[in-house]
Amino acid sequence: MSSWRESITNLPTAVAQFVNESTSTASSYLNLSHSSSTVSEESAPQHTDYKALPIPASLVKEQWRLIFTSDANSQDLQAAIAHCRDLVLLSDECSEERRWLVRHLVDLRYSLQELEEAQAVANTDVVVLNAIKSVVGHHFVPHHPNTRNRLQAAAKRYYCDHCAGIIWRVVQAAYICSDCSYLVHQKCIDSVQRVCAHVLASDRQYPIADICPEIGLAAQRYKCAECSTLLNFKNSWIEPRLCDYRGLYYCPSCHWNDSFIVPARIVHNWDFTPRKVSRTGLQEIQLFLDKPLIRLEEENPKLFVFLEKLCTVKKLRQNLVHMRHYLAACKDAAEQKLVDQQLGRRRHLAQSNEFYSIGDLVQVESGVLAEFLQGVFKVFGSHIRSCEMCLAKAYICEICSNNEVIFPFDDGCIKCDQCNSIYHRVCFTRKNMICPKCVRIQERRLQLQRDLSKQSKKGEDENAEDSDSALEPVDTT
Amino acid sequence: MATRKKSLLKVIILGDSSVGKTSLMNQYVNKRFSNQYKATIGADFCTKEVVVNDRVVTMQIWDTAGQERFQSLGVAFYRGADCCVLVYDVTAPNSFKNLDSWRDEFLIQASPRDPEHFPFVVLGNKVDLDNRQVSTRRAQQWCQSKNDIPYYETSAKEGINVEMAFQTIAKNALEQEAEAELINDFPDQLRLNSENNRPSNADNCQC
Repeated sequence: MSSWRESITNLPTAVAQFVNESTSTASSYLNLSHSSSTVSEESAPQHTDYKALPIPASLVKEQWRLIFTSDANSQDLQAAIAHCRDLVLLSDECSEERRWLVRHLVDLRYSLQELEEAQAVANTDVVVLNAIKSVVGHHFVPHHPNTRNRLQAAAKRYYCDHCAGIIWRVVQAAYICSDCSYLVHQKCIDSVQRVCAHVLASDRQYPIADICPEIGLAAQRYKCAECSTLLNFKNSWIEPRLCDYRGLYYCPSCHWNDSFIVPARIVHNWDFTPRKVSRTGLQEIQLFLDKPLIRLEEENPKLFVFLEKLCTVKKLRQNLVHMRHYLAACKDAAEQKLVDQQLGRRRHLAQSNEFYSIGDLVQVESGVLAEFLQGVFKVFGSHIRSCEMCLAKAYICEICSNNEVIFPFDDGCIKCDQCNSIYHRVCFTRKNMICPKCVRIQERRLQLQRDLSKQSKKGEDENAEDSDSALEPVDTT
Repeated sequence: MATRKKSLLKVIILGDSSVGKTSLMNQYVNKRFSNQYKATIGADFCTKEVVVNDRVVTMQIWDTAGQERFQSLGVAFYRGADCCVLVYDVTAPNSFKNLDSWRDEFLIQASPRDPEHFPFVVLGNKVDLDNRQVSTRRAQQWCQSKNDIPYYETSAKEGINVEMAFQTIAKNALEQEAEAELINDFPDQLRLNSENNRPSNADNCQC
């Protein structure tokens, strides 16, 4: 009886599951029935819609071997992959052709994988839900939101990035891009136009450095920069919306008035106010968030003059770089994985003090980063000062020759930029900032030059004698 | 010989990169040789028990980085050394010329009590190779000019003269130590882990 009741209570979820599965199975059967044609149809619009990268003129004559008609099968695809790979090797490095070809090669391989998976499904009659679909650079996988907390899951609404409509989870299957988190209805998947933000980001390699590089609506021909919808101020459905990151105008279905921090504004103005950005802009910034790409001091040296926080962080990072040299050479620290354990994925913080990620800069402003680095500094410091091997690699100030050991990251110490020697700051100032070791190195060099000139003057006599004597010991040993 | 407090001899091996410092140490301590070159990073030490003058002593042999780019760390371990081994490659004249600077730098950084009579030992390594460039006479002349430094020609690969050279090193180190004890019963070693070594500010500098 009780089990009967349980099954009744479970019914709605069961129905939901069934509906869900049936839609996805139906879709995959759909795929199945046209397995060969869907692939080729998909790959064909890919090239025409790839606005960012049209086929280079020099490759047009190869087009027939690279881009397929509807009767493409896996052999065609394999041949195309081989041909494409050969062309990649022939093309010039960093050229437009190579870029296009490499990207096309990736697409081809995905298409082949899709086709093979579909065939595998046909053979085994089992639905593979994890099949990846690739459309304009996106790699779509079925979207299954974390449903541990059912209430939360119900409260959270998902919107399709393509049509901006709600995704009704119970009846509609959805796909998400594993690279840029682009979420899309199953029904919209083949008409996706936005090139994957991950592709754009890896092409750009660096977040847009100019603040809102606006070109104006007229230059855009009053069209949405993404879907080319005609924009019009009179109608709120198609009003133009400016993306503060890209500097372009978008229609409301491509620009949802999301607010986010903009990298260029941070780097130039230390401005962390969220601005309205387009969906593609948002996805791109989010991809750049944790990448240590920004050489802040090179981009904007004045920031370090005005912001004490930034100076503190820079000093701390410099000290951590010195400490890392010690930890890298210390077996104990390597065994304990001290660096990994403290920094984890933020290793770049102790690798140099140049590169910052956007996330780092946000944390500099909030003060979290300085606190974090201070903690790491303490842990590293306590290891170095208690480890015999690390202490053995300390420095001794040769100016005062005191037995006290000093480290490059100590407060009262200064490093000679030429020879890396460390001195007490006081001692070094007393020597008028002239490094005694550098003086010795210089003297030795001069001595060597003098010796050389002497030798050349003495001529060949000595050389002959030298070579004679050089032969002797070989005989004896 | 009466029992002594200290039976640890600290030996430092110095010389240009790839002259065979690590190989010499490995040959002496582990009796092994590898043809593969692997640059030493920073410094490391091995210990070996040896019998010198009927006494068992522990030899702590410090192997150092010859490559300049790995010399980014300090050399506080020079302090308290009992003997310094200078190694050059008989097939590389430059490594021989640089012995002077290695010796000078060592004396400055280690600042021993009596720099004139600090025990050095010079080793001309790789005598098993055919293309010899530095003659024995030239090396011996240099050693004589520097207060009669003992000189050995070794091959870490074949194990030629390695045992003998290190025996001399141990003997000289022990003598140095005995002399040091004559001057001062309680040799002030560098205490690396004491708290007063921590420079809280530059005023700690006693000069």
